[in-house]
Amino acid sequence: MNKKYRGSFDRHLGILFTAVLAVFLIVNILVPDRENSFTENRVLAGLPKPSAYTLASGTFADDFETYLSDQFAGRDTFRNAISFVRWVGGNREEHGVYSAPGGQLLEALKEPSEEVLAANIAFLNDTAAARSGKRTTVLLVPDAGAVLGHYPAFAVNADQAALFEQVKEGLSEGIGWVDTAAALKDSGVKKLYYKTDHHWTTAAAQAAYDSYCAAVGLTPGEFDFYTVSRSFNGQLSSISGFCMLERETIEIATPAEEESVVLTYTDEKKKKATLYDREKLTSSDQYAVFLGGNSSIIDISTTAKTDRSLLLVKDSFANCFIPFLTGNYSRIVVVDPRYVTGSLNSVLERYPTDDLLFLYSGNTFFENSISGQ
Amino acid sequence: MVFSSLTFLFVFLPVVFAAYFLLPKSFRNYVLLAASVFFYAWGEPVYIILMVLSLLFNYFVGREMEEKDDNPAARKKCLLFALAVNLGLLAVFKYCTFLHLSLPIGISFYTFQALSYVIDLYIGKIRAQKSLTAFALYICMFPQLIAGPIVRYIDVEKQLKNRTVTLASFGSGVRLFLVGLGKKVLLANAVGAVFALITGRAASIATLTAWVGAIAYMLQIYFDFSGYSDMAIGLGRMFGFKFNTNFELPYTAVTITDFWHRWHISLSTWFREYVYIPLGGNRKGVPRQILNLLIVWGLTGIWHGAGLNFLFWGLYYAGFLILEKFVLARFLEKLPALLRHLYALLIVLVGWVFFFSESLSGAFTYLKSMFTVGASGFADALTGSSVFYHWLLWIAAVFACTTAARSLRKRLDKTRRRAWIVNILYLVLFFLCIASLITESYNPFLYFRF
Repeated sequence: MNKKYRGSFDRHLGILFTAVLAVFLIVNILVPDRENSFTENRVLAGLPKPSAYTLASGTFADDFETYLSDQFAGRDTFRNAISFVRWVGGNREEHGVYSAPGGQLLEALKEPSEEVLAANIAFLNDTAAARSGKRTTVLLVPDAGAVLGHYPAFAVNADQAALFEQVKEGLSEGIGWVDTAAALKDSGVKKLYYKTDHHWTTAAAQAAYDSYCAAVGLTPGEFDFYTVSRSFNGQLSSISGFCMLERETIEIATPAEEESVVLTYTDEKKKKATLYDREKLTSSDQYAVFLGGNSSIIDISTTAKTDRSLLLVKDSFANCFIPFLTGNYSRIVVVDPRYVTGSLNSVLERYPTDDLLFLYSGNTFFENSISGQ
Repeated sequence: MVFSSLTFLFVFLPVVFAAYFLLPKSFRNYVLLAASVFFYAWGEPVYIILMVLSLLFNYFVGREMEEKDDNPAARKKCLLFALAVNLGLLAVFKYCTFLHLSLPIGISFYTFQALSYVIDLYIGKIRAQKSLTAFALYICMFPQLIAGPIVRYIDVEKQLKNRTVTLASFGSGVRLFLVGLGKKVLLANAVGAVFALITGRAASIATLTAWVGAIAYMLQIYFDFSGYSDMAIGLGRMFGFKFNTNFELPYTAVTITDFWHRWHISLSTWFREYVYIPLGGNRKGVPRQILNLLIVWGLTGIWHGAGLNFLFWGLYYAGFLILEKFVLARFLEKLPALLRHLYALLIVLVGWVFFFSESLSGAFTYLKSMFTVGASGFADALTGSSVFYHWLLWIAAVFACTTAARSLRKRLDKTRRRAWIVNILYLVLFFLCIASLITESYNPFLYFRF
């Protein structure tokens, strides 16, 4: 080996390394800190304030490392790069999100504990029983993986179809059941779920709406679809780091016949005249364009030529489903128990509507006690 | 602070480089000492007091011993006092678990360094260090402070006073540092996450999954520890120090004796020099040699921690070393190389199960799931996902344990043409490490516990 040559080789690396350290030190100081990460959909750590206690206990050191990592120049690019390398290296699961063929991200199908399942079925039955004489319907939406199927090999999933059957069997006499899985499969809709988000698409929601109308004897309305975003990158991407560059479209459905709505956000004490919050299209969570995201109680009045009313107990899957209902009900009260503080039962008793609909996605229904108890 | 952190790489290191190389040469020991104290105090300031007391004590004991040059009895008293204090501190903070003291970082390493100084001084191999700065630097120099290698005073005596750094030697240090960083961040953390996933399962583990888990740990501890050693030696080189190799491709070993010539060399050298040889080594007959081996390996075991599993782990190796020395050696020699490799790897793998288990009974439970088919069967989905979701990682990790990796690196390093391409590869490695450090929450450091 040529020693002189070897020396210059090492010298170059020494200079390169020092330059990289210096450049990042300077750039990290110069580039202003960000408050939020758009792509990760979370608040980033700020520069911690030292105190005698945090310095002595070492928490300052930990917080400082978190701060550096959150505010590191080019963080998003580094994150995309390493996630891509790991994907190439075989990685198909990250923080509970599977990367399926075709760039489809899927949540694992969760297995409920026996207590949670029993409690949730009891909650449906008890709520229905407390409103004797009124019509109650349950609409469980299968999660993307249960419909699309193609998980990567070795994914661990519950049999969601069997679980749905178990819920259906457990319902009291008289409670209606919408077979959403069949409705979605028979709908002919090409894209039922977003690729980078766990939610269903507006077209899928329409198929379920038609099925709901058939089940309760309503006449489904006519709708026109409009694309409101072509830059949607959903939460499954944020959580996993997979498919960060994928951009999807979000559609909204508006009734063919003009109508108007008034939304009262009861707890927030504000009113709106639209089902959509367009400002959310420039935020990191674009799906919140529907109803502006989740709220504890939204009381919607419509100009529908009927006096039927509906109480809808739901999770976020209902947000793109609700716009289809405005022609069939003059009042829709939307309750999301996860955001209700205080007694859920007293909230539900406050709204003695004609119809009651439970709309949940499988994972939300099986993972938590939906009554919040 | 740890090397594999953004704080170290992008705040601490550039500032220390600037101070070390831009200030006059006479400042260099002061700069390194100040940097080392800050390095230690960052995140764990309280025990800095213990380290300073320890180094002052050993410094003055050294000076005292030198002054009593003509009085062997007084020198012996000094030595015994120093042994009692050093080992006493180690015993209190490391082994008196009932006191519920948290382990001062690096205490096992700096105490052993101090002991090498005091003992060699007593034997007369070295002279006492007159400069408190130089001695303090020897004890708490940040590259090897918290996880070794255990540098013997005799090896760095001259360098503490006089050392030169050229841009070329600095660059060769960078090269070693980046290799170590890659081992730690890209390999150890990643296989460690697989290990954590597998052992995090409360219920029983499928047979094949248990093997994958144990192998993941085997790779994790090697890349974690040898990566840290590489970084330490590389950093030392950047500041002009030459430390000895600490790992010599241990998983290429063909016997257990061979393995221990390749694993944590600075620790086995220490025990050989300061325990085994003083006890008489192999010079006092076979029964005494066996006893000496049992003592040395029992101590090596508990050096790693207070748990019974560590003692067992040490004696387990004593057993195989004795067996190899007196019985197995001639049989092993006749075996094909592949079988000898498999023999050594299997013994080492089972050894790691004792090492990573929280208790002896936990170790036997884990071994049971490796060698029998339990409630979870022979293999399950976790076996598949832990292997195939990380296939590239496994290939890279196994490759990095072999001589092929080393010869590839040597060949790359020797490439005369397009050497800049190799340098770019090292930079890509660095960028991948940065990317992992930014995004991964899983960045433990195993040898912190020792």
